[in-house]
This record gives sequence, C-alpha cells and structure tokens, in this order.
Amino acid sequence: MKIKYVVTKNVKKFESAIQRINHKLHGVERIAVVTGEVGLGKTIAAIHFGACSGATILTIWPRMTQHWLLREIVKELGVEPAWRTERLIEQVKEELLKKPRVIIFDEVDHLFRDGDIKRIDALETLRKIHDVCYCPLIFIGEEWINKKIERIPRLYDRVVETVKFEKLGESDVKDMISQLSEYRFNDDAIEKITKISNGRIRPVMRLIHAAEGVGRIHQLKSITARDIR
Amino acid sequence: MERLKIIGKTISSKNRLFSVGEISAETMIDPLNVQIVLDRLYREGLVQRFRLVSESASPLRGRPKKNVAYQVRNKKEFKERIAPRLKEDTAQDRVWQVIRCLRNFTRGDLIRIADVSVEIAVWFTKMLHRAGFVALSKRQGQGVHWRLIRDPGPRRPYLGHVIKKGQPANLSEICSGDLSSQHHKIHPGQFLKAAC
Repeated sequence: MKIKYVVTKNVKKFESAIQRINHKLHGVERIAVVTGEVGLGKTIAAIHFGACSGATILTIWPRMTQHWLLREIVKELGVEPAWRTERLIEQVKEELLKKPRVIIFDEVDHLFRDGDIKRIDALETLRKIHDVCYCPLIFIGEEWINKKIERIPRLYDRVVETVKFEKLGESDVKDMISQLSEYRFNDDAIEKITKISNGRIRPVMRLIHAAEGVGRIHQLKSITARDIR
Repeated sequence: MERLKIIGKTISSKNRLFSVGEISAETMIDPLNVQIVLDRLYREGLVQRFRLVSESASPLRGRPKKNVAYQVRNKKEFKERIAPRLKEDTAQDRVWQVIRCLRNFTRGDLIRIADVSVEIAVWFTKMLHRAGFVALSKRQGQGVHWRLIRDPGPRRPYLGHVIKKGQPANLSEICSGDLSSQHHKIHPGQFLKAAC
C-alpha cells in the first residue's frame, strides 16, 4: 500500500469552504462549521490543511474555560501567555493583526454544555476575536454541533459555511483504492469493502491492507470479493 | 552576527551587572566591538544601562571617565533574540506541526499528512529523538510508534547542535522559550556521589 494522503470529496468540500471564508472583505463574516460522524477524517483533513497552509490548530478539552482557551490560543500563536485575561486578549489581537491566519478549533462540542456560563463565555470570546481581528475561524465537531450553535444567535449569525463530512460512497472507495493500492480491485470487492467499512476511512485502509496481503501470498493479479475478509 | 552570538551567550549567563571590560575579557573580543553590540542591544530594549558614580575623587584634569554597567532586562526575550533564526514554511515545519497535533504517530503518518518525502521524515524524527523531544515505543522493527514527550511550542526546535555534535544537546540552548529543562540540570556533586 502506498503512503499517500487521499483527497476525498469531503476533503475537497472542506478546503473549498476555507478558501471561501479566507478573504479580506470587511463586513463579511468568516466562520465555518464542519460536522460529521466519528472516523470520517475531519481532524486529519484539518491537520493536513494546517500543515500545508500554516493555519493554527487547537483542540478543545473538556471543561475548558475562557481563560484556559485564551492561554492556549496565545501559546499556539507563539507568544508566552500573560496571567491576566485582559492582557491575553491584547496578545491575541496583537498577534492576529500582525500576522492574520486561519484558526481551526477541533472538538468544539466540549464548549457547549447547557447551563454552563463559562463555556458560553469562551464562545463569545471567540466571536469577539473573529469580529476584531477579521481572522477566519473553523469549528469542527460532531453531528449536532450545528444545532447547538443555533442556540447562540450572535454566533450563528456569523456562520457562513457549513461542511458536512459524509460517509464514503462506492466511488470514493474506488478512488481511494486506485490511489493507494498497487493491485486491481474488482467491482464486487469494492462493493464489499464499502459495505463492511460502513463508509469510514480507517476500516477501508485496514481492508485494503489485508486484501493486499492475500494478493501477495496467492500471487493474484486482481482482488475479488472472496479475498476481502 | 557571530560577534552578537558570542557576546549574547556570555551575557545570558550573567545574573548581575556587567561591564564592557568584563565581557571583553571573557570573550576575547576587543572592547570597542563589545561596546557596539551592547549599544545595539540597549537600543532594542533588551539590556538596561546604568551609570555608576565612583566615590573616589575625580581627577583634577580632563573629562571625567564614565563607568557604565549593563544588565539584561528580560532573559527570555534576550534568549529569543540570540537564538538562531530558522527558515519558515519548510517541510520540517510541516512535520513539526503534524507531530504536535498527533502526539502519537508513525513515520507513515508524517509522510502522508505532512506531504513530505521518506528521507525528511526519517531524518527529522531521528534528530528529534536525539535531542530528546520524541520517544520510541520500541527500539526497532515494524509498527514503531513515536510519542512527543517535550513540546517547546509551535516554533520548530533548532537541531543544529545535535547534527553537529551527534549527541543530545542542552535543551535550554535548543529552544530558547523552554524553561522546564532547568529543573533537570545535573549537579556536579551527583557524579561524585555515584563514584563513591
């Protein structure tokens, strides 16, 4: 199996959404929300985009407060964080105005907890940073994050792009196999892989790897559904 | 540039006031050059300048001699100024960002996600291992997992010391912002104890 990053339909949607919000127009909002089930490659897509474009990636921890979040942002921007919240906000502003960049927040679900004012504070701070620094923000979370954002009207109003990561279809799996494998897979094999993996990336990769092993042992020219286990 | 590096290294080790003559004697650089570097650092706001008033009687003739002493204003900023400036947006930067995001990774992950060649991934992880930033799950073989054990921040650590000497470098020298390594300094007495 080749070691290669496969650009699926989901990744294309993700990258084009970021391109659309990464503009210099004042007055046009720049928040995008990425949703989808576990194991569809949201985080890996974000890390790949971050590594290739210089975007900052931040993973939200459970029970993260506004102060903690600000400290983490400042650290990720490459500055020693100050003690006071007021100074932290100034540091974020200084750095983002000096060098604007896309900030990706992964697992934003942790910031939504009903009746917890501290988490809402953190979200409101992010909204304010977006308003003041004109930097694009991307929130990655699980399926229901969109509904949760709807409950905060001021934040929801600024969301201009919503990307939903969907399960891989047969064409996606076929595309992945053609890019990753050195063997030729028959249509029935592709269908079986799609069915067993349930459209998730990790099982697809595992099945391709296993099928290649079978192909190597039996010196097969093409792999059929029988060889998929 | 070399002059600034040598003088800066000497200054950063000082905790008290120091004079031009003192630095000149330690670095073997002539006082005029030391004065130029210190003036530059003063203009950048990295060192403070004090005028010392001597209590001894001033000479009867001529311009009175100025006794000036210096002190580092902020050690962390000073170390950052002296630290080598690395190129940005390189393949190593991409690999470093992926390592920081994943924390536990294989070389295959780095090649795939950071879009780098096998050689870069192998070389960079090897150097990071030598410098003590990453650890291995097992010594060799297939399925080796790497783990980030020391995270100095988003800026890629400088690995020049490791490449040149081929031995683990002092982390406080590699990453100017990392102060945690100070806790791991070995006291000379420890060796004596071990020998006894």
